[in-house]
Amino acid sequence: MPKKGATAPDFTLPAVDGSPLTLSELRGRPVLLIFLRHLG
Amino acid sequence: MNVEVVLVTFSSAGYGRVWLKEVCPAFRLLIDREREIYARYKLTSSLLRAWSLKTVRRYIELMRAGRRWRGIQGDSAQMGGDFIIDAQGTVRLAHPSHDPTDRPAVDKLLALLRRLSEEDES
Repeated sequence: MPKKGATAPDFTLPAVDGSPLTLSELRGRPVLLIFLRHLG
Repeated sequence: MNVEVVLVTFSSAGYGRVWLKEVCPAFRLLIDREREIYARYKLTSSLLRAWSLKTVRRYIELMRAGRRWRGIQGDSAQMGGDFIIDAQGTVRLAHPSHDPTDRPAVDKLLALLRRLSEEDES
């Protein structure tokens, strides 16, 4: 698991509109990253 | 607050679009169908923990409070998690859920995000 104080593992995933987003592109402002269980 | 909110799901993009429009259109919703990033962030899967008595009780409480049951989309055993990453890309909070009821307090999340946001502005 990414530990507090470590660099967040980077990744690229498509958004719902198909456009890719890379986590590290968001550097410069804090990010709240939430992994959902299932959409319900 | 100058904060990005990024949600990750393993549901389909089509269902994700409908869900996002209904629930929180301002947020980014990313699709991880194969759950590769879930695995990279060490988020576990457990049918026993997903459907424990504690979880069922919580769902009943939410429905009694007026929350609509939308059914299960995908693997109900997959656990989620909450992470806060600062402007430099460092993990400042890591909270993988042990079970579906195990989420960090909203006040705790907001306090840390507010602090990080203020640090960046100063």
